[in-house]
Amino acid sequence: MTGHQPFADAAAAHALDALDGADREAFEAHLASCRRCQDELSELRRVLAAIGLAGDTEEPPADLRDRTLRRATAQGQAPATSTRSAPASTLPWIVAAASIALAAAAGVWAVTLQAQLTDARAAAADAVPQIQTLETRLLGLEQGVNRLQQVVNIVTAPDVRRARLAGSGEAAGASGLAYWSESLGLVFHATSLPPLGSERGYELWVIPPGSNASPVSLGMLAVSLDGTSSHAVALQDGIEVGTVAVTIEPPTGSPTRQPTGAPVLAGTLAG
Amino acid sequence: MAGTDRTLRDFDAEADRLLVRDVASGSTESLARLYDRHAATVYGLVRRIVQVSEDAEELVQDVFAQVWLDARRYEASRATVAALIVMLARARAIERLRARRARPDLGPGSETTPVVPSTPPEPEPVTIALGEVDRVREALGTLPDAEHELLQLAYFEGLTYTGIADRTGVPLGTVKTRLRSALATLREAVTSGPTTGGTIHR
Repeated sequence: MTGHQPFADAAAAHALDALDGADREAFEAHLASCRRCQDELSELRRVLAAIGLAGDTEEPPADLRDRTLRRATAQGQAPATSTRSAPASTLPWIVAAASIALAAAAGVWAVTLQAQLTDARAAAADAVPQIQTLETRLLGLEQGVNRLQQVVNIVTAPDVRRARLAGSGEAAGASGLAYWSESLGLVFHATSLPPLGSERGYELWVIPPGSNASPVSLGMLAVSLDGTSSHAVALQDGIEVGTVAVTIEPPTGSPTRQPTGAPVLAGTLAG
Repeated sequence: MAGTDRTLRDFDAEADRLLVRDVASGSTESLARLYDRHAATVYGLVRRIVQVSEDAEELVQDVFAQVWLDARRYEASRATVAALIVMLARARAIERLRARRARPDLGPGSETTPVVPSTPPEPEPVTIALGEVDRVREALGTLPDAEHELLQLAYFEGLTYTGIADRTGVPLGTVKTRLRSALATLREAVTSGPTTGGTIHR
């Protein structure tokens, strides 16, 4: 399997959810086409579930049972599979651009996988591992679609506001867009971010309106090899966004929790 | 159930599946029975991760609310229900822990850990056969201390590889190698054992 070697340790890290942003995106891109990693991952998940089941149990407080059941059953139930589809023709370009590639690949792939799944189910009982692998891949696909749905929801929200982001300094050639809905969160999309190597990374900030407001970090950006970075982030309640900015920081984020230099990409939300 | 040995046999896993099927068709009583069967496991795990009792209680509620919400997907995935529940519980607890680290004003803890934008976990089709949990527990006891410690930091403290390297001073490459080796040992234990027989004692 060509290209697998750099990811030899990544499956274990991914199963533990211990990969940092950029590494995680790189591995997930590799995972989609690497059967060996998919198989390894499903094996590792069994191990991790077993670790959880092997731990000490502890009896919760008696009144928690009623509280839990009341809260759980107060909500509806989701269908077995998501059948929602996005009205692509009415979407802004950012979603259209992101969705066309994903939807086309996902659609074709899902149909193929579904056909394989049906065939596999029809086959003998020794096909069980194969079925599980296919189901894992379908679930991964569903995750991608869910993420896309989150983007669509934010960009098309009634209270959405938009900012064009302009690059400067080291990222003078970069540009981007941000969408913020107070109720749903922030969509960030940037292109042409220059690579920074392993010693530095891009950190995403939102700055509330007003002259005394301190920037709030949304974390480090995962940037793909072609210099694009797209994220949908649910914000903590009560955070209001005036400006969206990106600074260059150490790979684990600004040690002071505040930007250490001037933004290399920034823009202010239009009303 | 408290303080008694519990035994998970084939029929237990099958009973869980039937309960999930009933929950999927809206049975509150079946959800209550799932709670009775798994709440102590979930509570034990999440309390170990988040430490704070109030947070752990809230996480138990989150987990069973998710089971109710996603019961139809769980049913369709045909995975071992106990495995789904425990993986969901860990994911939620780690998420909580990381949010707390990112916003120290929300609670104890003061490390710098980048917030990775995440989506709620999907049910992974994990299946666990009889005896595998026992074998993993046994294998955990045989891990070298250096590997065991790092695995604890990743599994129960939710540290990323770079976070572990920062915390322990162990070089990043060594962290990767040790964790990979630890999981390989456990995996070996899972896959090499007998495929039938065995019990889970708690």
